[in-house]
Amino acid sequence: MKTTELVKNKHAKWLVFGRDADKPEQIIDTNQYMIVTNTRALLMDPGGIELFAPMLAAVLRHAKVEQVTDLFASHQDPDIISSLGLWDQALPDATLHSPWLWEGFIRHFGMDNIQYNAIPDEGGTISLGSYTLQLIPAHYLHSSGNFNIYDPENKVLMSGDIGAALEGVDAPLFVENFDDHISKMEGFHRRWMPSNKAKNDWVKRVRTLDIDYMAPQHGRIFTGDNITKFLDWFEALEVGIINSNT
Amino acid sequence: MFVTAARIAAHLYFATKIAKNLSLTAKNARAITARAGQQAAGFTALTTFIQELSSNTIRLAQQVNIVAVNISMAATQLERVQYAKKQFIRAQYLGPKAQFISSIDFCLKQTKQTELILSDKFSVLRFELDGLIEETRKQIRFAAVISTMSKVEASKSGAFEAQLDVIAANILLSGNEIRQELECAEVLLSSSNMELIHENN
Repeated sequence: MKTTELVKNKHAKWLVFGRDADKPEQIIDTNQYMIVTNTRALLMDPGGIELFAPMLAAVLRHAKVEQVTDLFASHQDPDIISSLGLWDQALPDATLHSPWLWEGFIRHFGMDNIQYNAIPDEGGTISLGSYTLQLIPAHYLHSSGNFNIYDPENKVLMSGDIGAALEGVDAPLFVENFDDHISKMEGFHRRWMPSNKAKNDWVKRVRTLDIDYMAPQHGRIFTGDNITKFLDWFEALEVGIINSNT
Repeated sequence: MFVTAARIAAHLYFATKIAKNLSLTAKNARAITARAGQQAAGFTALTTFIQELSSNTIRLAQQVNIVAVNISMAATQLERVQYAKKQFIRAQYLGPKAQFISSIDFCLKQTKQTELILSDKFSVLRFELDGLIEETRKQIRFAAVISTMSKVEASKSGAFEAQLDVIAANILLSGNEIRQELECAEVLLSSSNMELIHENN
């Protein structure tokens, strides 16, 4: 499991975990994120059950287990949160922030100890002490109850499946040439995102945010101009279309 | 073990179904002996035993079913805790130089404690299951005796002999069917005992 420090300021740092060459071959590669403040840590889309041990080992390089007070699951998919039953035994006092829509479903992964903070449709905030993160609605992108996390201080948008590309573990961490990258995202976005209306609402919402890093749960991270290029491309894309190759 | 316990519960569920049929047989016997009157006086006394046999078997099989389901649940919890323990140990192996790796020691300790508590709970439930299956088995031994006695009494009931013979045969058949289900449950239980000994070694 590779760990990269994405960005930091004096209050918090962002870490990305992924590109795990030791993961079982048939599961897709995922990016997990963690924001660490001086006293607390939030683990975002902590991943599937298969990744738990390498993820825990990677997390403990940067935070004590009791420092991880919060978890976030952007939606209910197994590659996002099927490790919950194990985190539940490692972090019994933690809180999981996730869409209200999925509470009864996500609990099936095993949750005897962790608290569930049901995020309302309109979003909200997560406070890590004095450090505040915003929950940006991203419903139907792709899940019917779905959120992104925005950090206004470090200007990071953790965008979940938006901007995702299904690539191998040797793929670079950052998008270099946006035009070359389109072919790696197009099929996924057309097939997995069901609603043009929801997509365009999200684009409009996100254009108001000041973003330096757009960090999806699969594939490469967008920086600088590539973020605007992505928003323009995504806005023009017709989604909700079946393509036999995806 | 959680699969084995569920399979044991399934066998006992079938045993309950058969015992319910036995209860119907007891009711039929009572109706026939009422019609036969004095001719089937000996058989009339036996119908109470048939009903008791059926009720006791149903009660015991239902108790076994509850314990087997509890065992299945405890085994599932145990499996989850043991899996978590394995993953914590794996994380220690993967990140020996991680700055905060020792902070996981407490989780590991907690997991081991929970594992012990669940293992104890599991042993108590298994012991209970063993006892209940044995008790059900003892009950079913009476089925053969009651069937033989029924056959003898049927032969003395004149025109009603053929009908009461069917009742006697049904008692024997039900008893044998329940015994078969119990034998399957016992085989599963003893094979899971062997598995447990193997795991502990």
